[in-house]
Order: sequence, then C-alpha cells, then structure tokens
Amino acid sequence: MKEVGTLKLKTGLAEMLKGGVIMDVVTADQAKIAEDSGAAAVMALERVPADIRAQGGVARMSPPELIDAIKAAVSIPVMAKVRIGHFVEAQILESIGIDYIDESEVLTPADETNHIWKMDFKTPFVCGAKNLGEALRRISEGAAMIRTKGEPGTGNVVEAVRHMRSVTSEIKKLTVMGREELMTYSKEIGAPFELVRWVHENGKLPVPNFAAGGLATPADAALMMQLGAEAVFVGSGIFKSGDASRRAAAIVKATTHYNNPAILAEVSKNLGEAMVGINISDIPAAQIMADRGW
Amino acid sequence: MIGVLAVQGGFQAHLKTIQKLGVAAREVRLAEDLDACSALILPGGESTTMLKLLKAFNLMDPLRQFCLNGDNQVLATCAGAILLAQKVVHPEQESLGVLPVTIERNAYGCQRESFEAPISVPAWQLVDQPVYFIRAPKFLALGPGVEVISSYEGDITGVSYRNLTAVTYHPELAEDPGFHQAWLQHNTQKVG
Repeated sequence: MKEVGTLKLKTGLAEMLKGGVIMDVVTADQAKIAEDSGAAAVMALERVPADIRAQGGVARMSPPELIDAIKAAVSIPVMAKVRIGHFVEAQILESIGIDYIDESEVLTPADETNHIWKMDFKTPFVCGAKNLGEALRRISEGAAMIRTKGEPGTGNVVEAVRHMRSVTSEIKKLTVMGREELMTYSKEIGAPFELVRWVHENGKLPVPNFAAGGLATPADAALMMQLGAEAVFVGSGIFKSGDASRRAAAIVKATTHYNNPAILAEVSKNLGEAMVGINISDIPAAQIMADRGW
Repeated sequence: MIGVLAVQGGFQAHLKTIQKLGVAAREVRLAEDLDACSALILPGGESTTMLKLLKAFNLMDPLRQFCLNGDNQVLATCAGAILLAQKVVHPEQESLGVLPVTIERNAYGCQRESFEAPISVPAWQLVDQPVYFIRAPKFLALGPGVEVISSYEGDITGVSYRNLTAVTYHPELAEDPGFHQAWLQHNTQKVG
C-alpha cells in the first residue's frame, strides 16, 4: 500500500536535514548563494527577522510568486513561514508545494489562543519551543520538527541556548521520574500525558530537535550542535553580515565538524563583519518574539 | 567496521539500524575515518551540501578509491546513490562517478509527493519491506553490468554493481532492520 503524508515521511525529511544548515533568504539570488554555500534547505521570507524587527508593521507569509521564484532557483528543499494559527496561509503553501512549513513566532500571530491543527496537512511543519511543555503541545498538534525559538533577528545566541538547555534538562528530569509522578508533571508543563510518558521512556523528543534564533557565527552553530541540536537554522546572521557566501559556507562546515575545534578555528578566520547584535535586555517586552506561542 | 558518511543527512538512522544488528559502526567525517572501515554507507540528505563538504575536506578521492576497491562493500541510499552515479541530471552535478547509471534528482516532485511503500528484493529473499521515498531520485539508465535488485510501479528503485548497492529509498527509517541485515548477509562476509 502506497501512503503519503504520514508522520514518518514528515520526520523523515527532517532526518535528511540533520547536520545541515537551513538559511533564511528573501530573493532567488540569495537562495542560489545559500545553495552554492552548502545550505541543506532555504527558508523563503519576505523580510529577514532583523528587518521585521527594525521596520515593524505586520509580518505575514511571503507572497507565492516570491516562493515560486526561489523554488525555481534551487534544487534543495524550500521552507516558508506562516503566522501562528493562520491555517489558510498554510493551505496556500501546501498547494504551491512547499517542502516544510514553519509556523513561526517571527511573523505577527494571527491567533492569540490557538496554533494550526497540523495533522490536517500532508506537508510537514516545524514549530518553535522554549521548553518541553511547549514542544510537546506542538508535537501533539502534528509538528514533525521542533526548533528553539531563540530571539530571532538579534544575532544574539543567548535565548537559543536557554531554550535548548531547558528542553534537554526537562527531558533528563523526566527520565528519572517515577511513573506515578508523570500525570502531575504533564499537568504542570501543560503537555499531553501520552507524549510525556513517551519522553519518560525514550529520553528524547519524538521528532528531530533543531536550533534557531540569533545564530550569527560558525561558533554559534557548533555551540548549538554540542548542546544537542541536530541541525541549525540561520536567519539574519548570513545576509546581514559583511560577506554572506563566505560566512554561509563557514557555518555549513562548522555544523558538520562541530566537535573539532581545530576545524572550527580554521573556518572562523577572515569572515568579515558579523551582523551587529542586539542585547535582549534592550528589546521592549512587546517586541520579544519568543513569547509568541501558546 | 562499517563506516557511515556523516558530513550531512540521515546518518544517525543508519548508525542506529546497524547497531541494532550488533555490528560495529562509526561516523566518517574525514578521510582518516575510512582507514578502519571495510564497508561504507552513504546516507540520504542533500547531495549538493554533501558534495561541498566532501570537496572542502578532501574526501572525494579517498571515497572514490574506497568504492573502487572490490573488497569494500558500499550501500548508498537516496542522496548517497546520487553521489555514486556516473551521471546526475535535474540539475546536472558532480559526483564520485563510480556507479555506471544515470540518476535524476527529486524525480517525484516536492515533499508533498513523498511516499512510503513496501518493496521486495528477490535476490536477498526480502519481501514487502517498508521503505520511504523522500524527495526521491530515479534511475533513468543503467550501464553494462548493473543489476536491478528492486523496482516499484515500473521504476527501478535499487541496483547492484560489483561491490556497490544503491537504492533510491530509505530503508533505515523503518523500525525493522531487515534490509540492512539482508545487505550484510548477502554482501559483507568480510565485515566484522
């Protein structure tokens, strides 16, 4: 029996992206540069998070003609973002054949109570999470990949580190709990009991776990990999830097050789200027993207 | 020792499958990692990304030599098959060029068209093994000496040539390690 749109096929594509770098691009030219630098996939956007942050306004799904142009320019998978809860944007992306949908806090939320019921789609979804409860809520809605939220568009990796560490430490804590503690724990973190029990028994998330949000250097990518990420997303960090293609290629190499400091040192040389970062404490509370998501 | 090329892609799933079978396996990221290996798995992933990394870290020639040594068994899945092929189309790109076939990348379309289906490998007495076609390639033409080991709905999905086995699907995503077990049994008497 031939089957399509199964969870195994959705997480399977995420398996194939492991050890890779997914790069934010806003034009077909940037997509080509990303592919030529070794990106495992590109994320098609109207504006990178740094510009969304600087320019303000409502951030929405990219126009389909832009996504079509990017799809035509590259042979690697193309992802695109939809607003939290905006299932019609997701229907549009599925109909134009996007490979992965990111229900993303980078865009302005369309629903402040509910996320998309992702089980309805054949196209896989990735969602951001700050902690285990949030990750398991998204997985129960049908997300086939989880990523840290980090704080996008800042060039500051501190929030991605915080989110990766909280997910992994909550998983560790869960694995040593007694079975009688699982129900109360699942109530505390607001996650479905069956998934809490699965994580208790398996000691990992049931879907691949990637890093995103504020990565700007090869060392940032390797840091997230050493902290347990299985691949990395790099947004504004590449095309907001001095020499995009050189930096992109260096981050690709660093993600593969994340455990080899000699190679990390070599690829970190002569990259030109990194994007100017923002301290999280300088961002007004209303503009913190990581707090979007319920 | 079985090496699994680990520059990018689905290498963890292969390692887990091999470990389930109780056979020693290791990740291969640099040429020296091949020294201890008598078999190699080239996993799925993005072939363009892998090519960049293989070239940047001088792995193209060592891998080619490894594949040309008939004592070494090689299993390539999806993007791995693209790396082995002599000719790659859609779009054209470089490869190790050791397997005389023409292969088309992303031949079924985007992720929406990805599918799972049971396949059989009669030569290995393997019947209805669940496998996964994810943005899969297709073999378009086979050179002399290349044998078909599996097919699905009229398309050739698996081939063998000398010491090389290449399939367009992902057997490593199945819970059942039957495909890898059959590959080991039929090809790698010397692997330990």
